Amino acid sequence: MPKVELSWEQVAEELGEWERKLASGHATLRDAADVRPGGSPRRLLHTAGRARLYRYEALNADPLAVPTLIVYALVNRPAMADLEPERSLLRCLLARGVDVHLIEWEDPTGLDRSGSLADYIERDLGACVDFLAAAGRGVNLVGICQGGTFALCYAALHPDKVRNLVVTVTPVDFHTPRDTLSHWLRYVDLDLLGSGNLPGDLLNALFLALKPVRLTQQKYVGLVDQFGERRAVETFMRMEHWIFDSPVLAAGALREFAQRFYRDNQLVEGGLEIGGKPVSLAALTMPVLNIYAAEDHLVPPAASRALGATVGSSDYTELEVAGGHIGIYVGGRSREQVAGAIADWLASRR
Amino acid sequence: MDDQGAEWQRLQQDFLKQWLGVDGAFIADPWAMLKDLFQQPGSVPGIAPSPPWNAFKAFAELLRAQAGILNATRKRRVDVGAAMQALLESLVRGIDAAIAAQLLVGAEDPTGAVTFGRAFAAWPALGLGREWQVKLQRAWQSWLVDREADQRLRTLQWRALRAGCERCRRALAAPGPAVTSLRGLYDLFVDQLEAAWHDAVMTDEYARAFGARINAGLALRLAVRDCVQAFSGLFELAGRAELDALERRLRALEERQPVATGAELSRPEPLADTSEVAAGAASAPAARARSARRPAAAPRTTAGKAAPRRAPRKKAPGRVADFDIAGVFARDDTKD
Repeated sequence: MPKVELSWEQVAEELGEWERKLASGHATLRDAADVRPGGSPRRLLHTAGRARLYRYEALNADPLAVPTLIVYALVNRPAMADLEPERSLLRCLLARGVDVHLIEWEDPTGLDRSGSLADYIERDLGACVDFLAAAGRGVNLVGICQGGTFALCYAALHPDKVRNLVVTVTPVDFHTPRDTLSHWLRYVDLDLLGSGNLPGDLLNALFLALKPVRLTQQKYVGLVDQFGERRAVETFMRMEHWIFDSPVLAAGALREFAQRFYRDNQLVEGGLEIGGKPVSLAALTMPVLNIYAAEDHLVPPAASRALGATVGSSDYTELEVAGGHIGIYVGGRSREQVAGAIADWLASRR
Repeated sequence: MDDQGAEWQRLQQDFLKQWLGVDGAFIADPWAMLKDLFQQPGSVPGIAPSPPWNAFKAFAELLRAQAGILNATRKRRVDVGAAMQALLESLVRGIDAAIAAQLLVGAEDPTGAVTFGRAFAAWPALGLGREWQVKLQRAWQSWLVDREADQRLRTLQWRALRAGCERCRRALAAPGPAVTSLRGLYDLFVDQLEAAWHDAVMTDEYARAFGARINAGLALRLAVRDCVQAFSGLFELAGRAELDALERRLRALEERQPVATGAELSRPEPLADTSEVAAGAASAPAARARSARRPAAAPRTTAGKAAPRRAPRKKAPGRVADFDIAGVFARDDTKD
């Protein structure tokens, strides 16, 4: 049996259909040009250093008493977790009664370039936790990707301040075999890397290079199939905006993160210090939920699962979700699964 | 031209009209137009086209040649699978030839910039302009290093693409589920390219070339920054060194008087017009007023009053059709 069962007539028909969609898509794309991610009602509660602490408007009449603080990565912006009303992890959590707070990091300027990880973790994240904890009900921490690594560090330094810890697609072991970013960083001169703030576009180019054909070609070929559906195109454009609207990365913190985590793997190998204080995952004695994506090409599942072997808590839960690094937050079923798992897990640990 | 060919031509013209803003009715050969498009930026009289535009032009010519192959095979009713094999073979040959001709790795020197740069970087620096010359020489030398590192990396990348084409040829010849659509054929091609790419980039050779390219780029940025800073100084414009000094002073000030550390947290500052939500805007002034009257109030005051609890909202009608963006980003998402 031939591998390709396709006649020229079929090819011509398929190409013609594709061309028709392509020609009609110009107007659809133009109309969707200004859509932006995010938009769930929220209020700014507090600022500390580069952190802006927001509280999202409740969607449940009987919310959990303990506030939950979501910590996002320095790379990109947290709007991905609130892409649009129908695809919002935050709204899913709110609907299930989670009292959602979120830290947005302000874009660093040239005057922030020598800042350290301690600025983000101890000073800014710490200030937000203290602000929320002042109400006397404690704080749940939820970290996303690099924000999860920050949450791990903070919780390990202050186990008494975090009631429950949730990390999602969070790298713990940075030296697992399929970790492409870690492999690529092996020969990068980190002193040069830390010689100036890094433009977001540079990092975007790096991420695109992880899967160059899928991310620069196939994704857009697939988009053509959606040209007839305006809302699908708008969703795509929101994602596109989120992906490429990347903040500058502060040189000092970037260098420190690359050295301590990617190069020296100190979270697993030991020796990690944040602001001069030793960090040990064995100090994580609070309940911990670790969610990772089965097809994550940025943070391989093994890199996240490593937490199980190092955490000090006797109440440790792992959950594998089908999907990729971002797919688990924006995909229909996986988003519900992630939000449901977090909300149920928190509810059972009030 | 048969009916199918005429329809194809018409669709191409529609597409060009929409996307390029030109009247497609006059376009007989879209590939030639693409080639011309890439030719234009380099078409300055007396100056040879720059390497990137040369490469784009060559790529457009390659596409045109492949469109010709496709057209010819269509007319002869050639087996589609065999045509795909021929296309892949032609791509492999094209990549080999382009790398050999230094087209794809940009190693040409049509403007003589490389030759001049090498000579200039070796000039002795003496006299009044010495310091300027040293800075410029360092920048030029960094550019040369960056360029070579880029060529090495690009060569490996094109080899990875070549390996992907070879891999696709093998996959088409191997037993397995039949491909029954052009999109399926394209997806198979992409899968094979990505698999070959992953194998290639996880080698030590690639990691070294990648590291060298990043290091060279960052070093070039530093060298250019030095030049810009020296030039800016002539006009009393602040350069990096001045801003760094300012940052150190600000940090010293912050350390003496923390902006928002633990000691300050029990008395959060009321924020001026912090509401970002129309729904919450009305209650913001009142909340601010309360905060101002009771500066030692717990943060709950600000948070709780400003964002009253509400009954669950009804789901908005008109849910997005079952387009699952996770299908696009599950395997293909970029980063976080």
